Amino acid sequence: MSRVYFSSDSDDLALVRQSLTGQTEAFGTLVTRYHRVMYTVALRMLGNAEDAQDATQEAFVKAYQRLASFDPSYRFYSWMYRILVNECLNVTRDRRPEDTLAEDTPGSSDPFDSAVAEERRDQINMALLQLTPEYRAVVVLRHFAGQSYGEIAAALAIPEKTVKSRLYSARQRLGELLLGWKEQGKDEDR
Amino acid sequence: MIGPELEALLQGALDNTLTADERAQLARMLSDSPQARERAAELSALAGLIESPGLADAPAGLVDHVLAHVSRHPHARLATFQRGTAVNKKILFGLAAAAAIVLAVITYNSNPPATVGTEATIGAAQRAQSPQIAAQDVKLGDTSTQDVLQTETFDAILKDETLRNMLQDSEMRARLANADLRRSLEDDAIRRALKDSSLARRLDDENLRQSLNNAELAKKYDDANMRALLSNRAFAEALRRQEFRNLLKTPGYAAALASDTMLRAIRDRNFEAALKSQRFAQSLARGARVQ
Repeated sequence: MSRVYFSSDSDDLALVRQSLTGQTEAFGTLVTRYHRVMYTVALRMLGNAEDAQDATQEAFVKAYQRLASFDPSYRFYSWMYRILVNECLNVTRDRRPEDTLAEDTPGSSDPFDSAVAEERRDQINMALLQLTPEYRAVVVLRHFAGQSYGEIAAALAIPEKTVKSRLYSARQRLGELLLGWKEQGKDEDR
Repeated sequence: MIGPELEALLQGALDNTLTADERAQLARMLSDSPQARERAAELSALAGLIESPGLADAPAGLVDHVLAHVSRHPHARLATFQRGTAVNKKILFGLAAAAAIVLAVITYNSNPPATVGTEATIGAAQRAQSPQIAAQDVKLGDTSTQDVLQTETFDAILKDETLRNMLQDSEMRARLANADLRRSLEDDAIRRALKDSSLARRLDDENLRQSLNNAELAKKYDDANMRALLSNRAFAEALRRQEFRNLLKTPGYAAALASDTMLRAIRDRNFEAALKSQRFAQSLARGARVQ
C-alpha cells in the first residue's frame, strides 16, 4: 500500500487534547481529515451508502463522546477504525438477510467515470459482501485503509495470526469470485 | 505446487511485512519456479483489483452532521461521565467509596506500607467492579491514569527512551509509588547526586552501604549531595534494596530520575495512581513499540 491517508500522530494527538478542552473546531479538523477514508471503510463493509453514512456519523459521534478514554499511545485513526468497524458489525448483525444485497453503492461523482469502471466497482462490492463481516473487515482495513497486521488486530481485538489467516482465506475467496481462481481443495495443482 | 512457506512469503510481500532475508528467499523462489511467479502475479492482480475503486466520495452532509452534534455538546474535562444517568452516578460514587475502603484497609494492614504488590489487588478490584457499570464508555477508577496519559508530560516520557524503559520496570514503579520518595526527588541536592556520574561507582562502595544503616556515618559521607541522599529516610530505605541499587546503576536511569520530565511527572497529583495502574505500564510498553 503506497497511498497515504493519515496525518502525523502528534498532530492528531494535539487535536484530541484541544477537543477535550472544549475546542470543538479541533475535533472538526479530525472529522474533516478522516471522514472520507472512514466512509469508504463503512461503505465497503456495508455495501450501502445510506448505512455507511449512518455508521460513519455514529462512529465519529461515539468517538467524540469517548474522547476522554482515548489512549494516546494508540494512533487516533486506529482507534477510530475500531469504533467504526464495531458500528458496522452491529449494523450487519441487525440486518435482515435481504438488506445485505443493497446495490446503491455510490460511484465517483466524476461524470466521465466509465461504465466499465462502475461495473467493476459493483463486482468488487458484491464480492466483498459475500465474505462474512469478520473476513470482510480484515480485507477492508488492509486494502482500503492501509492498516498493518498489528493495527488490524488491535481494531478487531483478534490476534495478528488470525488477521493473517483471515486475510489469506478472504483473498482466496475474492480471487475465486473476481478472477475465477479454482476453489481451494479443487485445485490439485496448488 | 505452491507450498505454505511460499504462500506465506507471497502474502507477506503483498502486505510489506517481509524482512530482508525473507525478501531474498522469496526472490530465489520466484527465480526458480514459474508456478511461484504465476501465483505472485495472481495475488498482485487481485490486490490491484480490490483496491481499484479507491476512496469513495462521502455524502456532503456527513461532516456537517457530526460537526453539528459536536457543537451542541462541547467537551468538558470529565467527558467520560457525560452520558451516565443519575443511577449510574450513584453506582459510581458507591464503587468509588468501596475502592477507597479497600485501599485504606490495604494501607492500614500493610507493614511496611503498601507500595508493592497492591497493583494486582487494585486491578482485581477494578476488574470486579467494571462489569457492574453498563455504559461501556465509563471507566471507573481509571480516570487518574487516563488523565496522566493525556498530559504533555506522558508524551515527553514516551519520547525519552531511557525514562520510558525505566518506568516500565515494576521495581522502579513500586519505589516511586512511595510519596516520600517522590518528594525526595524535588530536593536539589538529591537531584544533583543522582546526576553525578560517580553515582554508579559509589553505589558499590562499602562506605555507602554502611551509611545506609547508620545515620551518623551518612552524615559524614564525603560528598554533600550524597549526604543529602543518604540522609533522606525514604531514599535510604529504597537504596537498601539491591534491585533498586541495580536500577540506579543502569546507564542513564539515575539521571532520568532527576530529569525535569520526571519532576513534572511526580508533581502531577494523578501520577501515583498511574504508577500503580497496569494500564500505565501497558501504555509505556505500547509507546515503546510505536516510538
